Amino acid sequence: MADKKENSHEWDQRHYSAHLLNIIFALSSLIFLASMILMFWKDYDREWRTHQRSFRQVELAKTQEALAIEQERLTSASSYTTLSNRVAELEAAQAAQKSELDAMAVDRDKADKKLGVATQDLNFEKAEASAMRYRVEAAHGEHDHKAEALRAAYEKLTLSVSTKSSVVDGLQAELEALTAAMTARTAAVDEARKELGKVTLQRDLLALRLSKLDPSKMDVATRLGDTVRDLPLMDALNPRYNIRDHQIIVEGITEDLIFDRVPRVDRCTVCHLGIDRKGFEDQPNPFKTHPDLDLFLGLSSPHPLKEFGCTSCHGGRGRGTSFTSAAHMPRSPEQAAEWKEEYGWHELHHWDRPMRPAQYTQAGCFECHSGASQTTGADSLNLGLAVVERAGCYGCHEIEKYVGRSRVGPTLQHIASKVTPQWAYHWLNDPKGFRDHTWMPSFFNQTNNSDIKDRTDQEANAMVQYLMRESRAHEAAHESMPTGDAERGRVLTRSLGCQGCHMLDGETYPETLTIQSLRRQQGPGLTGIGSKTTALWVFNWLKDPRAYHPATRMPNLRLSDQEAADTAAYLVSSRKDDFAATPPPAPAAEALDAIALEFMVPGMTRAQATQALATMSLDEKQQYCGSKLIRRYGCFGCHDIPGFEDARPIGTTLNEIADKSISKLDFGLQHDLPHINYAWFEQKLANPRLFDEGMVKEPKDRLRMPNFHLEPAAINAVVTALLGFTKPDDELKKMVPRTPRRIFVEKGEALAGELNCRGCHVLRGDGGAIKDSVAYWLEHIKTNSDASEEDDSGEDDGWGEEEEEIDVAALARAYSPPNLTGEGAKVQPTWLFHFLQAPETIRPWLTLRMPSYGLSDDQLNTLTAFFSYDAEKPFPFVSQTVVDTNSAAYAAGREMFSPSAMSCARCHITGGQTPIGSSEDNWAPDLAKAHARLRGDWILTWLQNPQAIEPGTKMPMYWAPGEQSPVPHLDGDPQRQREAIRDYMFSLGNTQ
Amino acid sequence: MNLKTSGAVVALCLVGSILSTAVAGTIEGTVTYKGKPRPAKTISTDADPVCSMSHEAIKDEKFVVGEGTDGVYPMGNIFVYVKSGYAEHPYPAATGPLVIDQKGCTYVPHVSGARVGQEVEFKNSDPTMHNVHSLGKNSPAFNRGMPAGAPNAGYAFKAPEVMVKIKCDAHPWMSCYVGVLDHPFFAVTETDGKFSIAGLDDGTYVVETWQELLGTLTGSVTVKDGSGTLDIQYTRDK
Repeated sequence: MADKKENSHEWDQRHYSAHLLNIIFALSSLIFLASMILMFWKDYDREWRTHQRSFRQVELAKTQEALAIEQERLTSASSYTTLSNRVAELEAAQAAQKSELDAMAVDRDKADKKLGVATQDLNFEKAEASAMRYRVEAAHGEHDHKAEALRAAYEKLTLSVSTKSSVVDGLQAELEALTAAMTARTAAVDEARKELGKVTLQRDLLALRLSKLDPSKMDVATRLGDTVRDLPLMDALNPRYNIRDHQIIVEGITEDLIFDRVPRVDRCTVCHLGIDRKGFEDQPNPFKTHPDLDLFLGLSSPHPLKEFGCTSCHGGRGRGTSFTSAAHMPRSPEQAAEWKEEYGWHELHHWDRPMRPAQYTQAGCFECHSGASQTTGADSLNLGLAVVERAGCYGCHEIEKYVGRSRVGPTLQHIASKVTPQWAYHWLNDPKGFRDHTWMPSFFNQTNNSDIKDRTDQEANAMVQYLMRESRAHEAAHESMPTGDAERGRVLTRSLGCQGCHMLDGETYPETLTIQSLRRQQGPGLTGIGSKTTALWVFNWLKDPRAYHPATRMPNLRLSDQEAADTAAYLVSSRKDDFAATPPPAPAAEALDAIALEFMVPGMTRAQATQALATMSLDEKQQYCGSKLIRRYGCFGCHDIPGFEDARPIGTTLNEIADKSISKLDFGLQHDLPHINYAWFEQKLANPRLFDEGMVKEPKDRLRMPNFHLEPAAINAVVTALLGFTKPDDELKKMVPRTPRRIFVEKGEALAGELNCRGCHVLRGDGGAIKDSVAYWLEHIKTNSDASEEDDSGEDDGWGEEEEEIDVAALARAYSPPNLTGEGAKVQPTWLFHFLQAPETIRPWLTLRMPSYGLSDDQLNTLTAFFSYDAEKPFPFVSQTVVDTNSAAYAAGREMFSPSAMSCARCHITGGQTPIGSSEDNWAPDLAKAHARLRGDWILTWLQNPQAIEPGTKMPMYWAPGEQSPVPHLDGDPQRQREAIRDYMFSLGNTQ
Repeated sequence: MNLKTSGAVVALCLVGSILSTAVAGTIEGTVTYKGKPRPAKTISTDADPVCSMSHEAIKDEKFVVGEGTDGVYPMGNIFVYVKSGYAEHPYPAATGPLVIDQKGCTYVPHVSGARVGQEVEFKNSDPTMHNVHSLGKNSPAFNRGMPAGAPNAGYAFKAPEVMVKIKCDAHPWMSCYVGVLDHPFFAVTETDGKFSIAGLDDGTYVVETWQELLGTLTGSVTVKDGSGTLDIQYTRDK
């Protein structure tokens, strides 16, 4: 006790004050409570909840609006008025019979009950009978004497069952009759209501949705629940506003967590609530509808939301539920500042895949569509890839997609036979000075080497001298040429189709580069040629481009000597003589020594190098420097250069460039630039030498990437492509399926891109870059030559010819290269193979000429397969249409073909016979060639509805769906008629 | 129900009253040409023997005038229509189809007007093949081949368009024009140059005339007490 007391005393003797502690406890519990409340509040006030709440208001307003519109539409629709009146009428009629109907209902209920009782009675009796049967059988088995008596009882029960069963049947029939009588009375109303329901379906659905959104439309309990469950704390139970119902678990796409992969979860739609719904286009983000629901998110689109989610295209952190944690990325520093202000945004560090900024979204397409040359809807990416191809980036930088591509520049193997050293020197120094849209980039006079111009002039000259000395002799096929007429040549360049790939002198380049305008820059712009080379060289080149440059993409247009001479005369008439007016600087020993030393010293001592140099002549020094400089600048990436045929590209690889760590990109002293890869790419493309700014570097260490002078749109497009060059994800299940069809189509697309088919032809709905040139030709060249041919005998009536306006748009179609969309469904593969190998004339009215590309068998097969597979047609073998020339159908076909009926030869050439009297813009392809060229099934589809295959075609439709055939043959059966015409056509010119 | 029905009745009465009062209003006028008229040109039809054999020489109808005095001639083949000012509500559909015949290797009529949705019936009275190719931009493509003796081909324009050119690719000289409107206030002049557009309320209207070679002219006209007059004169003098 004493101890205790002592203890308690001791206890009292504590070193702290209970009072103080009480205060501390009180305070801390208050703080705890406050922080609890704050915590709940913070949770309750999360960004996404705010969004979901305000989206509900937006959705409510939208639904109300839609409902009002739908209601108005219904009210003004006569069908609705009629139906609702009818329902009202019938309901009224029914109401008048209410007492009768009620009585019937009572009767029916009574009958129903009676039936129930009787059925139960029957079932009991059946059970009794079953039990009795068992007893009878058991008694029999035991030879019991009671068996007979039991049997009699059983028989009696069976009899009773059948009686009761007939009672039930009777009652059943009675009930059915009563029900039927009632239904008959109400059938009209029910039917009318059903009809009305069909008309009002949309409105009813909207009303249903509204009833779930609009508190004022809810009953008290629901409304209370609706409010309470979203209160702070309560919302843990079953809130309306939640993440769970909105997130998407993307099947087949997983995220790498070092040792494991977890399914990707995209919670973007927790806030982007209207993204896959039409009608929210006018809303600000995050509620705005996706700009292209046909291509993305829509259920019938190729990328449904539930399968692809959002981050598989956009990148970003799918699990993030706040603006910052989703790894949004701004499109510009201005937007970044705006976001910081508005959302407190900061860049999410340590997240590998931040969202692609809006202007580079299409880079995401490339992750799955890397095999395609063109991806539908990804215009910027397509342009970027096209620029990469045109600029020949893969010459210096390895890009997996373009491995094996030929060099983009002309061969320099025989350069001495083409240009003078003086011209070449100036060209190398300043290509843009000669042609302001050339794709030859600028190496010199750039921001990081204009200070050492004396040295770079020596460099340029050394390289030129090397090329000239090493240039191999070229034996031109023609040592002389006929006298050319430049004016005729001008007409030829505009009518043969040169403009599919070249810009001619005097043409203006569009302000913004597009994929279409790029097609017209497949070959060099044809300006200043007279100052660059000779007419004879051009003549030889035109006659056979491959003789000079075996890997050239320039095809052979099969020009006659005179045509080639005229064209050459025209081309060399374009001159720019002041460009290369001054001779290159004389070789300066000192400068050359300095350059040479840079290359020699790592391999030997400076003394040795100096000694070696002392023994070299000036020419030798120049030669040595030229060779080394060509290697340093990597000229052979684009040009075939003697001595560098197998040299390796000099640039860094662009494979997986988008994944390259930011620390490996040298920002130099550009501190203002955001440290983001695309910011670096943009600057690198705008000025490849920028990152040398302010740095002290020896000439040899300075950046070498040349300046392509890309315009902003092109830079944007190329950066999009670069951001698409990521490490392929082997686990990516969404990869475009590698079906044989797709592989053939992609291979063909790539080759068609290389050959620039779309410069002239529309292919898969895109291309035909030459179209405007055709219109120009029609307006300015063809009409002039036609007018001069016309004899002007009529006296002047004062009205002149101005009235004869030509419908250029319509005519341009007639004179444009054929549309190749669906070509695979149209022509036979064998024919296509031979046509591509050696083109024949199909449309003699065209001045444009399908060139000979000198394709290899492999390439021919690639293209032929491409067309067939693209059209989903069998390849390579197709059966021949067998024609029985003795049949009645054949005779009918001949008649229908004739002028007395469809008069096919009124527009179509037949066996070389051109349509009599019809002007050539109305001519149509030779039908005598059809049997070898066209697929039999295609002709039937074509005849059925030509506009469906080629909108705007002059080929009329003879058989309108649902209408009588315009000719009586073959019992007026359209299908048989079409087959008969096809068969007759196939017999034309078929010598088999 | 009663309310709804009576509402519909009232609405009908309103429409009826609009129409009945409107019938009185008419715009009348004459389209003339001042200057030396363009002589009609003879078209060579040698391209199709059927055309050249079976008919007299065809004159083109791009510029048609009647007898005139003092260098002023009434113009035919002018499409006249009310461009604005009329009430924007659905007008009763046209009664009957517009028939365009291909006869003697020309279209008859050369200029006509049609309502949106009105049936346009193309007829081929010639013993040769024609095709009817509509170059309209607002309505779906239409290009029908009509061999000799083919049943009439029907078509309906889906949207207003002044003018839609229709041509025959088989006989390049053949063309005709149809003005397509969503209201009934239009007319086509004969060689007397006169037109009359009825059914308009009192008010001010903008009227446009269309000529194949000379293009369009507009004028403003006020209909008061049921009538208004507007004369339009084309000239090539600058």
